[in-house]
Amino acid sequence: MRQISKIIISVGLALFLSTGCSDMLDQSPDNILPDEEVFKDWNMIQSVLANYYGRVKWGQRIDDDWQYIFLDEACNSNGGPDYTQNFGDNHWRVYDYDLIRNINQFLQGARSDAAAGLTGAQRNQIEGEARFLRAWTYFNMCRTLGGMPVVGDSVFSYNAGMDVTPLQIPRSTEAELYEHIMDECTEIAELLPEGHTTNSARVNKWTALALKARAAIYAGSIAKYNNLMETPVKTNGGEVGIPAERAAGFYQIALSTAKEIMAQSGYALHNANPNKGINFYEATSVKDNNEEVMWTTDYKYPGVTTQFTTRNIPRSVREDMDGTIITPILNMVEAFEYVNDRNGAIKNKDASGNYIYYNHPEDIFMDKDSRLYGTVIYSGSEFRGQEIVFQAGRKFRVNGQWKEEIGAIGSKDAEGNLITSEDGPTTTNEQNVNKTGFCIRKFLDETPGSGSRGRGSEMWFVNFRYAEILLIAAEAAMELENQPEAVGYINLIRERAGIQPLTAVTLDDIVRERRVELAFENHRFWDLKRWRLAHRIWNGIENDPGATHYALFPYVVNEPGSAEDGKWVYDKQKAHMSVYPRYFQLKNYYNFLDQDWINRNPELVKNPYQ
Amino acid sequence: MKKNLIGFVFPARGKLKKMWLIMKLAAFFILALLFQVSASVYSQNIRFTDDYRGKSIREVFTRIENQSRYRFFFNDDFTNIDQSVDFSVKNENIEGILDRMFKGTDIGYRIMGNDLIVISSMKSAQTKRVQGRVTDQAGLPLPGVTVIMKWTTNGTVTDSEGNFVLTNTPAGGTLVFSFVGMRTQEIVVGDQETVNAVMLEESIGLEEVVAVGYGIQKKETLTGSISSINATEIARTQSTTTSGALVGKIAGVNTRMADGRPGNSTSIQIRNMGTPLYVIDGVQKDEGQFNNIDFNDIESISILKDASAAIYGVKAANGVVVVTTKKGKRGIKNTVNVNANYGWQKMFKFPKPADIGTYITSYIQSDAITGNPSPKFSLDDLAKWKAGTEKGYKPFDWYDYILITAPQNYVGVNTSGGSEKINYYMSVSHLTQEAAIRNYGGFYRTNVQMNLEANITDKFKVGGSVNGRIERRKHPGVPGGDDTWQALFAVYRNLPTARPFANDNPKYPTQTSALSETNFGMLNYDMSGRFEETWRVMQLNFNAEYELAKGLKLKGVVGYYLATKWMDNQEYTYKLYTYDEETDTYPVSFSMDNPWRERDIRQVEEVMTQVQIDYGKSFGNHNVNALVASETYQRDTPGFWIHTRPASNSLHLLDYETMDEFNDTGDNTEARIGYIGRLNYNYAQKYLFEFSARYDGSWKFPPDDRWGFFPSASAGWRISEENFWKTLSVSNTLNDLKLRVSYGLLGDDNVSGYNAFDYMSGYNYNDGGAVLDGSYYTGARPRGLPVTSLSWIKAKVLDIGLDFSLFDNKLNGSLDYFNRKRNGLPAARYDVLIPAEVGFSLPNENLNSDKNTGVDGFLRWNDNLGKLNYSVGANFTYARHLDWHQYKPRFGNSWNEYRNSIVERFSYITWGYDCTGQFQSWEEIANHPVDIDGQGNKTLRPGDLIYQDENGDKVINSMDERPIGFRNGSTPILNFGLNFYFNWKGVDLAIDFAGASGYTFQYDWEAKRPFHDGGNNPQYYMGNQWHLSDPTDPNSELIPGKYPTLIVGNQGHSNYWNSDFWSVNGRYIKLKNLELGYNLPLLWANKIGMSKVRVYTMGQNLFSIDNLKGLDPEITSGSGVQYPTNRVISVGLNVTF
Repeated sequence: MRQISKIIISVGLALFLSTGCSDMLDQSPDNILPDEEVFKDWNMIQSVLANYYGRVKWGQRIDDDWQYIFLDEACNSNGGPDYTQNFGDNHWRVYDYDLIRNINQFLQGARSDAAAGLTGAQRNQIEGEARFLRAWTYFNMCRTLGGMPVVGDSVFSYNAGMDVTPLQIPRSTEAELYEHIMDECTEIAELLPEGHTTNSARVNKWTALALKARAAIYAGSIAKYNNLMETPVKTNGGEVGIPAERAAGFYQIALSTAKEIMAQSGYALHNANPNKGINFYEATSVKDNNEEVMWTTDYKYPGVTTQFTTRNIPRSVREDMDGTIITPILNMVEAFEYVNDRNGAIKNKDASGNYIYYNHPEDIFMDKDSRLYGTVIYSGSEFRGQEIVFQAGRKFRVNGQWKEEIGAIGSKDAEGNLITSEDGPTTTNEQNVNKTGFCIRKFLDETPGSGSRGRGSEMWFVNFRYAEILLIAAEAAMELENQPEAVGYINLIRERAGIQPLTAVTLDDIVRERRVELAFENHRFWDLKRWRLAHRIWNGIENDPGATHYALFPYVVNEPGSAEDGKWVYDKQKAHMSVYPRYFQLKNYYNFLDQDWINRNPELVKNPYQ
Repeated sequence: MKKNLIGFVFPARGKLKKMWLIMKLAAFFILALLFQVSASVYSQNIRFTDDYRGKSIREVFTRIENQSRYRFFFNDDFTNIDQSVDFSVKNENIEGILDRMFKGTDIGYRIMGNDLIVISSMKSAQTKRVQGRVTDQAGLPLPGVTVIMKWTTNGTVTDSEGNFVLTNTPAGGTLVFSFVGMRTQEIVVGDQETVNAVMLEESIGLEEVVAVGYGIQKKETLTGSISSINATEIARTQSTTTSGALVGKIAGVNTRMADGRPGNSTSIQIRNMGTPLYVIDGVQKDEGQFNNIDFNDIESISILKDASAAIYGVKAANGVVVVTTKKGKRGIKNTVNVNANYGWQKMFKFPKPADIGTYITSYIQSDAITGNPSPKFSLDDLAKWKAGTEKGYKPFDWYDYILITAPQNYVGVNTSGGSEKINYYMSVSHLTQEAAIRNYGGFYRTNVQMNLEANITDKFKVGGSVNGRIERRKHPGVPGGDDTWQALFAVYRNLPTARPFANDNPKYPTQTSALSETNFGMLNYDMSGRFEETWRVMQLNFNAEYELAKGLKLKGVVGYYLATKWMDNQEYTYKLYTYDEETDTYPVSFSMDNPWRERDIRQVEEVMTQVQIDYGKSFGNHNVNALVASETYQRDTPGFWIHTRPASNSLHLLDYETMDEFNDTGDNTEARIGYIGRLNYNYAQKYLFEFSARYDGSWKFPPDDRWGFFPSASAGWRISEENFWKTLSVSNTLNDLKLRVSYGLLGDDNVSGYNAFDYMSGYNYNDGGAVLDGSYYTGARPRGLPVTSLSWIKAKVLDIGLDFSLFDNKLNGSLDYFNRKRNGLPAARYDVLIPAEVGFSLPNENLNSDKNTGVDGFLRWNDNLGKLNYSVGANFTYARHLDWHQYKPRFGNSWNEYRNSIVERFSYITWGYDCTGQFQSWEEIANHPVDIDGQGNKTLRPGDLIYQDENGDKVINSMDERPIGFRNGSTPILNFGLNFYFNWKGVDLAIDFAGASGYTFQYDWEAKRPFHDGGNNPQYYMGNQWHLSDPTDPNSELIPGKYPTLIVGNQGHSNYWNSDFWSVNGRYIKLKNLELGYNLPLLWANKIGMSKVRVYTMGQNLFSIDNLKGLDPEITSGSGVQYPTNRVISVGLNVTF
């Protein structure tokens, strides 16, 4: 018996020892905040908004510079060739209902008693910002997929066995979604303050109106140009495609909204620097005293920076291992006009095919649109106070035939004369070596140290700036056949660039102006889509000048004693790093819907060509 | 109460209190158990005063038993039991009484350590004295070995020098030597008076005990599938980590050492089931702790492969590795052992880059083929480079410059021993493993281990252990990602045309490739900086055991573990130079301006408690053992990471001013509780049963879904113990045969895609963020839908096994079939159609399943040929993973199902094109009916690959992909080992082969892409391509080679698509360990005051036979640019005194 009792006692003891600490399974997490804690605290509210601001980055942008290689602005310069040709069925697709739900969760909290401690102005501001970010999400969704379901302020939940049919929301029409965005922007504009924010990182009333204007011009141009196609891209229900008769109305909204901004916002074209090239760089890429930029994705060290400068800085001035990863192509450079010549083709050879000799590397770019300087680092231009020289090699004639001498990058001959520049370009497959003869300047940071991995760059990325408002106004006025107004707006832009004014505006003028003014700012793809030009320019035809990428290879003539010795000649050639021409097919005007979404919501219809 | 002792060990044939014990058991067996405990001092103290006159011997014994702790034990043939005696005693000790009682008879007695007195008749007339010495294979004296005359109770135990003396031995008798962990040996005593015995170690001997969950068990009564390995076998390696010591030596383990850099360990999986749980001295630990204890301190390792692991609960579903460290032995004098070795290591295989001639020829040829108007090299250049004498044309051998032979050494000292009440083992050791890369640091580790056990009273035992280490890795702080890889990458990225220093002046590193950081000339402590990572680890265990009653023990263990990691990395800014000959100056050509200073501090703190009650009892042939236990674990892993950008390379301290990142990772507290129960029952050690269950709680899951119940059962049948079997003639050959079956349910809280607290809503702080109003705001994001539908993964493990031994136990083996099916792998119910637009998807539930199935086993032959003792063993593990049930899989069409279904299929299959050959001529290309390259074959050249058009649509695209291999990058499906051991007169030789098959290696990057990113390719590749007879003339005759012609920038070509041309289903056998040792004769050793002196030499990874050309068959990186395993050759000395 004693034995048994001992067993009982000891088992009991053992169990007690353990269960005594069974609440040890109730651990508390390190970084989870309950809802009510968030809305008590203005700082936490900023944190939630910061999360949303950080998530609304799509398409081309400096923190994902690879996206620049898909169009006709730049190509990959790093390592071996790139085999991109087609656009994917979900290229740059945005379908972020997760974010929309998160924003709605936030709105629910912000409107609840939990946020009772906030002032009316604070409530308006966070409501306005959250709704703007939601509208911006819908806008990005709309330009990739067309009309999609609008879920309003709902925060859905699910219980096992519930009827899910009320959750199945059909797609709105493309027109409805653009209208929804515009309506939201109208309301948001009333909620948000008018003042300009630091580095334009936070949205204000004018950002909301700018989005409204952009949505309107998109809707207007789709209504017009889609229906001018042989086979318009549309669905029967209007989820894709906007009736032609709606165009004028949208253009009207675009114009009036743009004019409201012009009249009241206090934003203006940056025109402080007499050097127009540098002025244009300042307009897009310098934060101080910038009166032009309306909404940016801002970066700050320490905190969050981008590696854009580290990755794309010219090799000769790089501060870290990387550099020259994405480089502009000749196509982009030639899109810039000359001051008095609207044909921007680079003049490397005369009519009979002989080289034109230039004394200095930059001379060939003389009289170019000053915005070229602000957008692209070309040979002989400076970056960070240092001249960047692209020299592929040396040329000399043997029996009248041009021969080339090409060395490793940075190589010199026995006399110490440069053969091939540290900045290339080369036709090798080396990493971090230039292959096109240009570097990107727009958004490249002049700040010392910003080109190192450990620090990164604080350079912002511009989502909206005033020049776009002018171009929207010019385009809308042109479409509404109000030429004087259109000419007026576009010439403001051209005058700031220092090129000849126009006397009449055509769509082609708008296309060219937007291409050069807004290069690398995530516009070209969407513009060519809404004008239904993408499939014609990026036609997939080998050696087609619009679809194929080109490079410019500068050489020094090395013929001691000859008159041309030491002069510069240039070869235009296919950019070997882009093996295939760009091929945009009709199916690419709208991304595909995943079969999975359709499975889950039978109300969804597919997009054309899907 | 006291009497129960005999009743427990030997089922009694009567009431103990009154009856004499009549026993008829193999005496040696008893003694083997009992002689472990040294003679007691009890006999010296207790004295008897009594009158025995007229009493029978039986009655005298009874009286003595009633007055003392003594128990008598004798054979049936002790017929004098009822003779009466005729003396009385006064204050006499027991020996005095017995001497008088048996004076002049042939009765002998022996007093055992635990006060048992064994009486035995010595009928044989002729008896004599025999003495001798018992040593192990290495010649080391073995104390505590039981030596007994067969079929008698006459026996003794060897002393600390291994010596024994046995009197009264009958001539022609047989001496039986037995010792735990050694093979029992019988020697017939002839005329000789000296009988020396050499005991052979026996890892799988039936008498052996093996560590099982929460205890030990005799091998013969095991019902689970458990492999074990002993200290000698473990130590036979030049590996620096424990996992490497297991390779090829044990059944049930799959191994691969993908990266052999200093301090790296071999990844091991039990039956390919995933990362196992490690238990060291009863405490659950992680892989790092297992790998970095000094394996010379390990006594044994058991691998729990089946349901026998279930008792370890939540983390045991992938099997358990149970480690027991060495303890001192009681009652032997202190011994000190010093073991030291010094070795030379070199990379086992690292492919050589193409030499200057091959590279330049190949480049010229590529330029000729692509029609490059300005070729990079001319034939003239080629000649100059090949000559290598002219200035500017001196090639450089980066391979020789970077890769070196590096030292590896080890010194360990341990001391152990014990008195009656206490035993101890203490050791300290240091290991150095330098990198086989020039001046590149390495791995340095110091270990201590102290184990102490003491009896406070006979019933109360306490123990403690300390395990500690300091583990350091250091190398230059190289810019970029993986510093060790960077040095190896330099072998390939730097062309043989590049020299490391401007003007060959070592003060001025120059640009050697487009990637400036690949110049190995500056990858050193002076120019690049320094990386140093130190782990300081301490595990303290305290345990106590109290015997509540006979067979009933209460045990408690408390373990405390504290580990800190301190990583400092400083990467300098640096400059690269060129040389200006005219001015004799060194202008800067590149300045790298990114100073990088980081510190990473991690701490792991673990507290575990364990309370355990054991009960064991025998009722006749019914033997019962029961265990009830509970345990708790709490683990905190706080840490933070800091980054600064120091203003100067010479500043090594962290500055607040230059700090730009501080990342606190939180405590991440984990907590688990388990209640454990186990019942073992066997009938006459013939029918064996085990039931165990575990009730486990994990902090991960929602409060009302935290607990899981995991039962398992197993049974064994020792057929060879059956009477009918013993009558069969086969029983003479087949000594032991046991059939085992086990089945159990194991839990796993490591549910992929489920994190702790996923059941909570709210906001996650520190998720994303943005700059607003000029300041950075850390983001906070709403959490997803709370997950309440997910709980444990449950694994059902079946094992059917057979253990056998034949030919007088010379041949041992076992074979196991196993099948683990895991249910409850997370997946979502996609058919509950929630529109994606609601912004969440249904959380995962426990829906899918997978399977691991296979066979493992071993065979070992132990014998001797005269004085040559030898053993030959083989083991293998075949384990394959299959994806099993998937939640309602759906496929758009049959091809889609064919290509993407994973239902009931071997998992992780490698898909690719089936390469059927290479085009031999332009004509063949022109006539080829299938569009190979998607460009109408216009990019093809002779030598290019031909792919099988599987679907016959005349074009090669993804529809033509077929399974071409096994899993890439994981442990192989089949691992095997061959082990040989020879011992002859103090010379011993051990050889271990390890091999594997059933894995796929895919060549890529440097090993596939032509002139990869401007760098080099391996010589075996570039030197064996289809090439032009005149490299400058693209139309010259083509000479076939193994590989397609390398053309710059061509890596997107159809040749380089994913096909079986570039993937190999690997097979290899490696000579893993070779050890040759010599023990100095004892006499010599003794003269210099040593009890053992052994010199040895060891080799590791000496050669391999494999099908991976140019590469170490164990690496995983397709480029081949990966630190392979090391070839080590060392010499060592091991002395004991």
